[in-house]
Amino acid sequence: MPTYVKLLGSLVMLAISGLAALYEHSKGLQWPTLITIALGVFLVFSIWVFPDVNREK
Amino acid sequence: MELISTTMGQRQRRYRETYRERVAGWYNGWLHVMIIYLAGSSALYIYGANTANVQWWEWLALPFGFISYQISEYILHMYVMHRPRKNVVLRALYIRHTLMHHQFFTKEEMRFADHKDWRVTFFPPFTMLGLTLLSIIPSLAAGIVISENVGWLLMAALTASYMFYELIHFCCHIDDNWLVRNMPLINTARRHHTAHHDHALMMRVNMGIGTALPDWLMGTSDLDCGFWGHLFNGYDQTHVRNDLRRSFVPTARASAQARS
Amino acid sequence: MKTYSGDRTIDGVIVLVDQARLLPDLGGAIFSDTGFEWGYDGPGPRQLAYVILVDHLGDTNRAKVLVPRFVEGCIAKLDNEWSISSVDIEAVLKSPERTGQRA
Repeated sequence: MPTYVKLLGSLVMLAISGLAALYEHSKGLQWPTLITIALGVFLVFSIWVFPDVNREK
Repeated sequence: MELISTTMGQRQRRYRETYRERVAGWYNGWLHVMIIYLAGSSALYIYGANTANVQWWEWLALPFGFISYQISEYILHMYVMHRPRKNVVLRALYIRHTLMHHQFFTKEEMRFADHKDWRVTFFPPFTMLGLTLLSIIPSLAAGIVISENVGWLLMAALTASYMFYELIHFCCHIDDNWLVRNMPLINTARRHHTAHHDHALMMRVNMGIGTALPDWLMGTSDLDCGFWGHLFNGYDQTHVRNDLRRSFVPTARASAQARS
Repeated sequence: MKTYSGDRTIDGVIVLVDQARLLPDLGGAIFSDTGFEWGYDGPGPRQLAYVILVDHLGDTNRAKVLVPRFVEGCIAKLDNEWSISSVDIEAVLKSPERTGQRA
């Protein structure tokens, strides 16, 4: 996946998980709030470390 | 590492060697699977934790989400993963699927050798991220228009359906054993998906993986049977159509076949 | 007599005519600008059919007219790796037209 696509996906994912965490926090859901933040970060981290398959241009 | 007892041809064998050499950096299949199912389970926990006092009719979001996923999977498989597109993301899906997954696995050899081959078996983590983001739009709409519980349950259904897909697809590429041979739905998926990996059919036929029902609905199944047949056909070859287009036979070979 | 061959490789789809690359825009990318494909009827296979026919016939107008027949009779039935000759092309073009089969 091209770097700019991963970057865009990462930013959107972090934004969405941040918003979702805020929403859950407002509902008083403590553990879901923490796991939402952790999941967003985990997903973003995993897409960057996952090894690609090299192709010749 | 490669399978010892196999009927794969030299082309497939060479391709598999090349693919393994090209995987950049470290890769561990168990870690790959852990990422998918840890992320998926966490997501399901979050979605469930956000529901409250679910009414009986709100649970219908689950089967609706599952069916929506099957149809979406069919559309993505047929019109994106098997068709080159200009959009860079869609093209990446085509490359990874038609030019990699379908060359690594063919009807002659559907199995991976070990967990390092799971790189070409399971979707990368970007899929879970992309699926989550894409699911938000319809789920948010359902949450606003119908009820918040329906929105969260739809998110849960779509994520769980993806995890179900990965499980079924994995079972299509493992060694035959008594469990996969006799387990309903899994045995049907194995036969259906193996037929899909036939070079002559792969671009047009048997695009459903979680279930064969979208192929039954759209007329792209290699089976000539009804709804229940498509769910519970198992390994049976009785209902395989004999009117599917077969491979092109060059003139010289056609003449030799006619003479023999 | 020429030999056309194709393969789906890890680096992309490759089509050759007598071991030289056959480029997707020969005669113009009039059916598809996303490259060649085969095994079904669609923009990529039609572009492949068109380019092979342009190379074989040396006539872009005639090639364009014969694309549907050539796709139905040959391109839509090609496997992952394939090889066809000028003789095969002529045989397909001369065969009687058929109504499309299912799938």
